[in-house]
Amino acid sequence: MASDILDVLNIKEETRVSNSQPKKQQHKDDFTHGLGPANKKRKNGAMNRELYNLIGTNVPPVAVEKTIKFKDKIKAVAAVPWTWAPFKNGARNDDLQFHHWVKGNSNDIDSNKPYNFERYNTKLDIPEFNEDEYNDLLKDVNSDWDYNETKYLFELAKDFDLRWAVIFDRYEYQGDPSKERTLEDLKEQLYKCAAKILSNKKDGIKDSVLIKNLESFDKKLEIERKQYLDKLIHRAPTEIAEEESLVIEARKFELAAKKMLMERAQLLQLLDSPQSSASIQQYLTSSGLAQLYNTLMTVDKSKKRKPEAPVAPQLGPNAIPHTQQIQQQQAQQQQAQQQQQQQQQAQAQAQAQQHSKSQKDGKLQSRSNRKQKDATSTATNTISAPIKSEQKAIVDLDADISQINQPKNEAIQMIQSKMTPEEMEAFGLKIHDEKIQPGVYIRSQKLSTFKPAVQSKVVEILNEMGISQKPTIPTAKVCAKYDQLLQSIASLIDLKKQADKIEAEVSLIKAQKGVQ
Amino acid sequence: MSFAASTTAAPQVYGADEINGIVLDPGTYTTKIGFAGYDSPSLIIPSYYGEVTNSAEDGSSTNKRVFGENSLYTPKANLEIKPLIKNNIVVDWDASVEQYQYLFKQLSIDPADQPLLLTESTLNSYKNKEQALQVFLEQEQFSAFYMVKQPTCVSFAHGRPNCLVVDIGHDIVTVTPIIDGICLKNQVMGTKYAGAFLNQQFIQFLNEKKIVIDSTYKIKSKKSVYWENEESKPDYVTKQFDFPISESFDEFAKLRTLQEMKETLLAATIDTTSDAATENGETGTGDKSMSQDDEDLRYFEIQNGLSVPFTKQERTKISNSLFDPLETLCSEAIQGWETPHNGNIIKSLVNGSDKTSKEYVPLRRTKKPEEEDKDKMDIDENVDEKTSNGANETENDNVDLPKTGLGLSKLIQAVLDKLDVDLKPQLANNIILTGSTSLIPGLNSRLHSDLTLSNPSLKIRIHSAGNTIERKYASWIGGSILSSLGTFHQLWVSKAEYEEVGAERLIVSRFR
Repeated sequence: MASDILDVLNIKEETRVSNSQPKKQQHKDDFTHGLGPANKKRKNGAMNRELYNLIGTNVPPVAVEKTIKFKDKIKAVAAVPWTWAPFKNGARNDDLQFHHWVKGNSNDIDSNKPYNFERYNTKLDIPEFNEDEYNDLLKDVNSDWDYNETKYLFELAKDFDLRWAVIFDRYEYQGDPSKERTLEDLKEQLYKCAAKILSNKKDGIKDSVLIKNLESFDKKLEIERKQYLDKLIHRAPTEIAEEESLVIEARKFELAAKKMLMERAQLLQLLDSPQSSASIQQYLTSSGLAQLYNTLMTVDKSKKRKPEAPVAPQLGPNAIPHTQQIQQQQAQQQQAQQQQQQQQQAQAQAQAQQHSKSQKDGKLQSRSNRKQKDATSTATNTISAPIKSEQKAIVDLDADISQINQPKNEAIQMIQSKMTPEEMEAFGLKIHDEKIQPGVYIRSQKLSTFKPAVQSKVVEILNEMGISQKPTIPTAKVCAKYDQLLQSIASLIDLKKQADKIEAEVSLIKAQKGVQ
Repeated sequence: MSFAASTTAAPQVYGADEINGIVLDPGTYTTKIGFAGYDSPSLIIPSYYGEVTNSAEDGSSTNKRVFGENSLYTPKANLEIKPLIKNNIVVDWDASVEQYQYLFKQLSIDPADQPLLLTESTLNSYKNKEQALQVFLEQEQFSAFYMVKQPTCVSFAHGRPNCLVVDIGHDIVTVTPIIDGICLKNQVMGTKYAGAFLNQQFIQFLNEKKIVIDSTYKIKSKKSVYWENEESKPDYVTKQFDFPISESFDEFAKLRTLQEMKETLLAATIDTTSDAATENGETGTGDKSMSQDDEDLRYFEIQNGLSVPFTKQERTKISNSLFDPLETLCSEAIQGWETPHNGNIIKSLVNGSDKTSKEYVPLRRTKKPEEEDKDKMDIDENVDEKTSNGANETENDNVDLPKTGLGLSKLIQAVLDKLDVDLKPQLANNIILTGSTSLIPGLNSRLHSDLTLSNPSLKIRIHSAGNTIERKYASWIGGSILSSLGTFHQLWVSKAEYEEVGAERLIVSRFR
């Protein structure tokens, strides 16, 4: 980058600082090293100068570098043996033996090691009972059920690990055909029986939470729940649309409320900030005023940075009622007003002081301004050469001027008074209101860029119109116009995208609705 | 595996453990076999066999069965082609066993060392299961054996434990809800509006135009001819055979042409009613000259050199008949599909009163063996005469189902409606489309738009493998995944277990 700029400015290599020199030297060394015998001999002085001139610094036609390794040698690791080993699965009841590939020698393999996947063989813990227990305990749970059917239900539940949909699907008990069991019937019977068995367990360890959960199953509630769900699923499209719009509406309200709260919080914060207790005496001197200015600046900055996270007033069970809140606000506002008044007074005094002071310092300042002016003019001199020689890049001087800090108003005023706008333009002088980055830069760098996707489209359109990607003569005016062009292209692209999207949506909806 | 691990938060375990298993997936149209853990079946042969009858001089005749495409498509004297499987259920066990032996030999399988996984239809009868156990464990001496339901395999192939598998095959369409990889087999619904239905429509459509499908084996040489009207005849020289060609052979050879027709011509459309209306409006004047809209005209060259034009309307109408089975292109009813199917496949294929697996009754048995045998005979008869029997039945019961033919989207809708409310949203979100006939372009989007319209509050998502192999052989691939899982190896039924427990108990407890 630096060398590019030097190139642009026509600054010769010799004038450059010598820090790039060692690197070059080293490079040269490499070069001669690789060149082979001809150069070496010359260095040694053994070769004739005339001969060397004939040969020149030509590189030998064949590279004498040592041969390139095309492929890394595979590290010599011994091949890992795999064995087709028999195994038995402990989760099986029989001793059926399968074979699978195992890493290692056939001697190393421990055939007694349990099978890797045995640990996944888990079962649900569903309580069991026998006929006597049933007659003692469970008979009264539901007179509609008998022992065999209950047992059948429990077996199914165990087989299918309580997957109710499957249990219900496979429920094919052939008893009384008049008893059509619904899924809820099955659930009720199983849960109630399980609860009963668990609560009458003799060993004393009872999972009271589990029992409570089991007992809390209510067939009626379950059926009701499913009816509601069913209704929900069978809503008409219009109902769904209505509901959706209501939800959107509600969300809008919520957002608006949130926004209002946030704004209110910001306002409160704003009103809170000045300290009221301290006396204004300390701001009466110039240094005190500067300090005040600085603190206010930092406060301002910190505020600007975090408007997203305002201290929102808590809205919860202990939120303050609205009227109270307003009263509080009023009180705070009054306080704030007082503070503001105080501040204004202080500022007025400070300004008066500064004014008198600046009059005193007038001469001194003008002298220093002149010095700075000189500096800028020398800068223009050195840089005006490339401008005259019609180099494509034009370096902005504006940066220099903006760097002249506090008393710049005077400098600017002076420049403005001594030069006509035409002159200023001719010299490439420009006065900025906003702060710009220090240092030298190329104007064409400052052209606006977009997201990669948009950028490529913008470039495409530029190509279509036959405009180069960077302005050929990037004067300030051209650049400004060019930037304007870029902006409008980008906005047009955006508009086109939106239009396409909406069009596609319309056609999709049309297709779905069957509108031709 | 790493891919799966990156998509789900739960820690993933490499769950595979190859044990050199065999996966056998007999379908209505093709039988697939291969090694567990492979990504596609190693051998795919038609689910048909050729029976060559050689009559000896003394009057007795010997039958020889041949398998594989080479033998089935080559004309031969006294060669009859017969199906092994109808409606996804094995109908000819003797021949099937011979076919399996042929396949085992082709793949040089060692039954003593390799377990076999068989896929079965959810409609499979008790007797068939018993037979399968007997064949593979007793007759073929496999060290271990297992039967999995085909929809379960599909759910494994797609990695979706809870889904609604829509399998559009050759003979039947089935819609199976699956919860945690287990089929809810009593809620399965299906119709016969599948691949064979489309075949028959093509045949009748061509018949109406007086076009005959001549298969490749007949043709010696041909010239290209374009069909213009009923007088246009193909220009070809027939091959001469010094033996008669059986009708079943000819029918079987036609299947290939029909398959190609289905592959190249069909495309479903989303909006049938309005589409048909506009089509009629446009072609109302030029209905006789179909070549008017050249863009939409597509020619199909039959093997005898005759190129038959199909307009877009005709093509979409045939495809859309999967959705509106009563609105076919042909003026007459489709032969074999005269009685509309109302989706109750369990009742029309299996005896309604008899359950597909035997009931499990603890501690005491309700039936005597003789009675069972009688029952099973009933099933067999019913399977054979399903068209006539099924028709009578469907008219007698099923009050809750419409009597008209149930199209694909209505069929899925009917299954969804019957489902438990808690399962509905999840399954509607996981509809898996599989089977060769589901490859018709546009079928997916048509189905989606139909279902979304009829279920405004459910989020319908249809999943289907983009890869043709994966779409066609999903149940085999699922079987391959399943039988190479480490956790699956405890489920295999060993020969010892079979001998100890017996087929009946096994089927009741493991394969119901």
